[in-house]
Amino acid sequence: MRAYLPRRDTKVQMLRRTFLQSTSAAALAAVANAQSESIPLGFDSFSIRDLGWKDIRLIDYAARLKLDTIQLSSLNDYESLEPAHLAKVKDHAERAGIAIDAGIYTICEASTSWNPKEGSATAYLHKGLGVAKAVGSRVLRCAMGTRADRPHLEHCMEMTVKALQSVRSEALDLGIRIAVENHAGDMQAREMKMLIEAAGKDFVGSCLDAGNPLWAIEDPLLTLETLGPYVVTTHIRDTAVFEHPRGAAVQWVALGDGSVDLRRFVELYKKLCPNAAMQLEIITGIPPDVVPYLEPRFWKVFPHTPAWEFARFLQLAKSGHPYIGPMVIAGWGAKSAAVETAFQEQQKMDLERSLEYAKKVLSVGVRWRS
Amino acid sequence: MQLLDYAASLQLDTIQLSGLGDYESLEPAHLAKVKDHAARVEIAIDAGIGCICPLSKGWNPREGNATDYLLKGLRVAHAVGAPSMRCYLGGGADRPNLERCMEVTIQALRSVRAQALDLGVRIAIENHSGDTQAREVKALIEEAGKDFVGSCLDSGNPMWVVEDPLVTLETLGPYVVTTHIRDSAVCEHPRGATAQWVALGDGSVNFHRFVGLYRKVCPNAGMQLEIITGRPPAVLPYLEPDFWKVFPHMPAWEFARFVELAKSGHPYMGPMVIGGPGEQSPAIKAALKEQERTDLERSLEYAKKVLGVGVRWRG
Repeated sequence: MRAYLPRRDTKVQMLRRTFLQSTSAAALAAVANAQSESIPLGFDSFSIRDLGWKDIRLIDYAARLKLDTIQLSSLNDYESLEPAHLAKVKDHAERAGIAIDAGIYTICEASTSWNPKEGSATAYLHKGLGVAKAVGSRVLRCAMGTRADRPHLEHCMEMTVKALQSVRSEALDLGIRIAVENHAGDMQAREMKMLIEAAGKDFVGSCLDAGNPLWAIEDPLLTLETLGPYVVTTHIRDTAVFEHPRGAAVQWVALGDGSVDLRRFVELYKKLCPNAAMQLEIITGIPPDVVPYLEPRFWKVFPHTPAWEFARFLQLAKSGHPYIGPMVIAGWGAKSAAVETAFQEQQKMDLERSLEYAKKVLSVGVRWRS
Repeated sequence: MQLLDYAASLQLDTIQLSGLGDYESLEPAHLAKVKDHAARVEIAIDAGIGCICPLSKGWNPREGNATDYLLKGLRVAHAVGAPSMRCYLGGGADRPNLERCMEVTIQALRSVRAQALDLGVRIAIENHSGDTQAREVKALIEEAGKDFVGSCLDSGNPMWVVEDPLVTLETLGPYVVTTHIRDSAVCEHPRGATAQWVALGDGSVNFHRFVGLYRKVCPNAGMQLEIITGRPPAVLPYLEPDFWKVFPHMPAWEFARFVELAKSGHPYMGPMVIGGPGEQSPAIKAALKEQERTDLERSLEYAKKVLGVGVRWRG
């Protein structure tokens, strides 16, 4: 699987300017007319995961917030996967005027986060495609793994490409594009681009996540520049990035609370992928995470990252500062009942204020304007 | 009584009842009961009141005048058997008017000198909420009279006056009567630094050194933990010239100690419920309440087991 990883002089290492010149031309032309239109706005159900809401309730909530779309990013978001229920979900979404982006999780059997209960990656993808079709989605989000998989990244990428190719004809027949997420630090944008191209960009695209690049020492603007032409759906959030004695630290925050230049991000988004839904995946309440790039062993899992790419991240860290606002910070694990209640309240509040920021400051979304 | 029982259940030696609101009643009969109960559960009380400077923005005019307020506090302290009474000048908002506030505070203290000495209660002035630097508290104590005025050394408030808490202890150590001890996470920020109060051991202050020095300069003063978590970091914009308007006399060498602390620190990276400004929602309130207790108890454990502080818990 060497072909997926950059060699010293491959085109992958082309300068950003050259890259943009060569790749954005088609995208820009294709969407020139769409520039004046707004990007559809929605959210990923993971943003309010602790509330335990399911499909119909999530769709109603999205409609109440005057959104255009929702990403039901997991099969657990449905009350049932029975065809009759999924048909109801489809009808309900249509009535509510909410477009659904569907989703599943890890599709790499070699990943540490693979769920063996799914049988095989092909079977899991097949199940996800069936659900996506049943609810009227044209997209199926999935992920390869997490940063824990970087030590055996080549093998994981090989397995993922194989799994994707195994459902190619089915995806094409159903008219569903499989959107692989740059997930939890598993891949940098350059690697994701290679994976998509190796699998087949006619049926595979990107679920561009704007928060995960920080775990992979990548400026989210660079992620968008690289993956923009492949973006099918998204996970958008902000991140506070700042220097730390071991390198840098990053913390996911509500939109507008962090270090990412979201105005530039949206401007570029409008050029490169204006038709992809901007699904906010707001994840707050997690402590800052150290990215110890000053320690040599950190680089063992990033042997091919070009220095110019890292310099973009460095610039972000140098100009940023920690988030200094209120937040219930409780991490991923089990919480006391009192903290859990506060956490649930926060998830909803931070999603809603992020959506307000997207609408009013970044001018994203269609339906809320009328 | 509930606070005393809680302190005893944690096998502590002492408690600071830092406000008059901590008592069910200020009636002599009730205070006598509190004294007896404290003696029974073997918890020494350090008493306390609030702001004693009528010029301060923190002054409560309902107290009448500073002398009356101090006398009320001294009587309560004596009634519950406390050898010290904590109070303070004001807050950071008083720094533009600091000289005048210090004068008025000194006057107020001197007005109760005889009563304090008669009752055997030492008045402990806290470096409070960014009102004063250690050097200024020392000047205030010496001016008022160190025979009856001492320091309630707070190790968290020095952050608001860009002071390393070790400098605070080095300066005020010989005057310390009681304390408010907590840790702070300090780190650099584009505007200067930020500081956030955290549980003991979670921050940037070298408490091993702090306690080593404490043992030398004020070993008999109760180490009262005042753990305040749940607040966001505050920016200390010392790279902006305006910041220095209220610190015209701070020596550079003192500030350099704080800069060193900020340069070597980093933000607190652990879990914490951080409330927003104003009224909190019931859910956040409940989570904050639970956190207060959890953070106090884990800080006490740190003081006992890591710093080797405390007597009774050793059994």
